[in-house]
Amino acid sequence: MEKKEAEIQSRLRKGDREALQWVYTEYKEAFFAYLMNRIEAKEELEDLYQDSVVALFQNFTLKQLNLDTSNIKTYLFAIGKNKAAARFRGPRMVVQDDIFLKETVYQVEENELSEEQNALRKAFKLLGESCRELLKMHYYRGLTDKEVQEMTDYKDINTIKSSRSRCLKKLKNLINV
Amino acid sequence: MSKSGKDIKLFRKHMFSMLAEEEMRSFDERLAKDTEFRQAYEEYKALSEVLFVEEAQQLKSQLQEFSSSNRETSFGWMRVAAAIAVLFGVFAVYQWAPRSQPYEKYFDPYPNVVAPVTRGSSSSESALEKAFERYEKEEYALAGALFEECMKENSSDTIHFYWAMSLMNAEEEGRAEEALRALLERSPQNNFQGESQWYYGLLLLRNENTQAAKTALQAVLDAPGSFKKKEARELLDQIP
Repeated sequence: MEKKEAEIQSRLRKGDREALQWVYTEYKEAFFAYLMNRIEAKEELEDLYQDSVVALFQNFTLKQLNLDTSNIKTYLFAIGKNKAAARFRGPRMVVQDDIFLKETVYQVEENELSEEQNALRKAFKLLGESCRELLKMHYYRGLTDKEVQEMTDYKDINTIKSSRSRCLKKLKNLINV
Repeated sequence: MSKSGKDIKLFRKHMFSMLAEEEMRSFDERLAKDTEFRQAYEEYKALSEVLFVEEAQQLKSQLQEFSSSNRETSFGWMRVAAAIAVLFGVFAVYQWAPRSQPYEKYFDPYPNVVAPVTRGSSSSESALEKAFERYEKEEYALAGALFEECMKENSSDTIHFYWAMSLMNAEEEGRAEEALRALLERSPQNNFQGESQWYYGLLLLRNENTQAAKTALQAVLDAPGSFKKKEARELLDQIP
């Protein structure tokens, strides 16, 4: 793997926001040229591109993705193609099998959330900062209690467990507010 | 690894389609047989998906901001030359102008990146939603009052930050400065760390509190993310 490619991949895995911006700038022109025939409105293309870059970033950080059979560019374009196919009806796009199974894109679209999930989302925003952080570590980043303990000031795993269940309880109570 | 730790890693592999065929089969069997396991998985997955969407939204608005600040500086060398000329101009003016100049030049309202306002939603809106709605409508004085009200029940850093932003936009700079100072003292690592330091720095500059402003602008450079780093660097170069 090229040195630069490996460096950016490693930074993306760490959740480095500057690497996210680097990817955004680097592939924008090629991405636009690639999908221009299909999507004419520039704002729509820009929107699709931003969503694709974000999806790429989240897949890197959450799955600790390490692309060796493909690269950032092919992965990003595959995401873009899939999103375009889902968003814009019309002639179906041929989605080539250019990314492999372990590199499957994990994606949840806003409009796929259930009614209960939308209520959860609303309630989550009303939680205090410390609860939001704690829940995010567990449910978004997928850290185990031990990993959370290593990263924070919680004194032991039991405290983490009980704080988290207290936060979950708060969250559930806020749903009905 | 503890049992619950193992389960999380397993849940995520399943969500991300990263299980091998055999593992997948035994996962599905367990889901069918073990009610407790199934409930735990469903609960985990539901909240994970919510947070995925939520984080995606935040990342996207950061990209949008990055893209619009980038656009201004990417129009070929003529523009670059013009920008350099303007910068010299700004620098020259800065030497002579009243100290509020950089404040006016650099201040722009912070967008609502927290709660998308759904228009036309009914009377069941929470106080917080109302506050954000006013904020988006640029009715900052009212937004400020509503955020302040929300803070009585919820001491979240986010609400505190938007309260300060409302005050700043409502031209209550003194109170805004106080609010940001309190936020940064209480939780220096808050989610809006770079943002709070940036606006705090601008307010300090406005009051000619140059040393403290430098510290705040330096903290903008040290904060995670890329918010206003370029501008902070620019200002730091200009401050005597």
